Amino acid sequence: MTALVIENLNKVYTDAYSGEEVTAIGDVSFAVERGEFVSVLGPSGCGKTTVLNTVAGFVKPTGGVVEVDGSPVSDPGPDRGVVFQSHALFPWKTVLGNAVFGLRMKGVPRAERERRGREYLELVGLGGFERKYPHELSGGMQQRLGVARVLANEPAVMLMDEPFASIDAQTRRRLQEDLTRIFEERRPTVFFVTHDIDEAVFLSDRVVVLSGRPSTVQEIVTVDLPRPRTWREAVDLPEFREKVARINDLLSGGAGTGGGARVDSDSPVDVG
Amino acid sequence: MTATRERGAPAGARPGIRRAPLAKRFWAVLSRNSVFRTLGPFVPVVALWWLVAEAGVFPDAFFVGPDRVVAEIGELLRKGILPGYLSDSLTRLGYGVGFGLLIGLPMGFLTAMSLRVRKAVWPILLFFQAIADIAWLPIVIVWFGFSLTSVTFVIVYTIVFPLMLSVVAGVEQVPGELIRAARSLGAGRIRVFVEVILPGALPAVASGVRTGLGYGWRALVAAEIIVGTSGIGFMMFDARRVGDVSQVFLGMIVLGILWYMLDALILAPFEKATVERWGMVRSMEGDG
Repeated sequence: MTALVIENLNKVYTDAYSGEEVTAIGDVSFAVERGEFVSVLGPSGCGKTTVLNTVAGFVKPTGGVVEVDGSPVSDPGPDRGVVFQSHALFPWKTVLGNAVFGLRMKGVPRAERERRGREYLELVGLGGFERKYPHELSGGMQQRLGVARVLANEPAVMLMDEPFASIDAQTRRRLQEDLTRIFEERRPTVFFVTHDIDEAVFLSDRVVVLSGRPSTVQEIVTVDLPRPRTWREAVDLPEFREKVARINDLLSGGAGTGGGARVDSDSPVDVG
Repeated sequence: MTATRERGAPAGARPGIRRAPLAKRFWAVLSRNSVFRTLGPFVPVVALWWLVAEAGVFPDAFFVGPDRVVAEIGELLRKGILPGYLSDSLTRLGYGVGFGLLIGLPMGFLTAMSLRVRKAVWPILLFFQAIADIAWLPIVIVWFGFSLTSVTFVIVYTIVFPLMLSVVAGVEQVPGELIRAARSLGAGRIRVFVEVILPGALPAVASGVRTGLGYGWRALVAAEIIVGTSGIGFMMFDARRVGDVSQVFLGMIVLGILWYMLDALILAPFEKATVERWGMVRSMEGDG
């Protein structure tokens, strides 16, 4: 079963001051199967976050179709929960209040939603923190809550927008391992945007490599590393290193297609 | 922090641990006492006041010492004038603030949420902001006479505009990502407003209420001086007319104390229980 289909996605922005047109997404097509972990990687400013925002319904595409579970996407909705880089937790709600937010919007009765909220908090390792407020948690714990908040809602696909980018390196490794464990246990469908090649390979079943702007899909790299995965084992696997090297080559422009991958084109217009 | 441990420990109980000097420990204990923290800062102010009065720098008819003011308080309390005036002033403030909030908050949110309303309202907002509250008094007195309505009108007027501006600012400072998060968790427009925008705007709204109240409080006194038939502002101005400086001093002190109480009993606890608890703003008094 296909959970998410992106077909000929195209997004053109018009600069509000100069009136110049900027193509953020050239032509992007790929699909994510149910229970699959797919990462999107690309040079900075290539519009990978714009792809995610379009799937989330935050941004209207100029052309192309996004379908989730067979129906086209137009607005944000609970079938596509988003984990943000900035966590975007509600500071006025407790940890549990954040975790059950989506269930409350759905009208799930209190006892049931609190049971499920606690279950997911337990899953992400936040058991016992239910009554705390987000500002009392560390950055890593805040992002665990961000994940629990989305998973408790049981979306068709979980969208993750560079969720660990603002977290220190050691904590990031632990979060990545925990995310893998949760994925292996629950098999949610995950669409993961990152600029970290190791992270993408470690977590994903497939990695979609975008070219520089206007972005197109350069290549979809399948990662067949055995699960469960841990960093200790992954870094020693020849296949892990091989995939990382392959993607690295793609991104550094050797195999550029279409518009060509301009790796170092850090555009002043932030479309990411 | 260290004071907690030091206070309980008997003198010289633990060899090897150097204890802070006595004066320092005394200060640590003292600065944790809430009565001292509230009244302490006023000690030098009152002392200076007394000193100036005792030294006879100014003639008695211009400048009175704290002793005279305290005597005056006793006198006015006995006659029942102070309680009567006080409750008049507070009633007016209550009406003014009540209607001010009732009008200002919904208008503010309406202005903030609807671009069309904002475009229509903004120039008017700026125009009327320029007309000082007191500048309304002449026409208000013509309309409503020397009445409670006149005073209420002025207070409401003073409160509404700063309140509206701070609500608009508050709504604008709600991070867009929070709204997106709520939407992608299944919240519709109304739920987003109730669950995200209202609490998200609270820090700015709370400080807007604080500012509005402060303005209202000042407008009240000014209106009482002009419209006055009773109230603290009237009392002060009337005392000036008969040359009783001690009542003027007394009035000023009462105003300060009332504002302090309003802040300490209502505004500060509210903020402590909400925006400070949620880590959205830092506490005024540090870890107090």
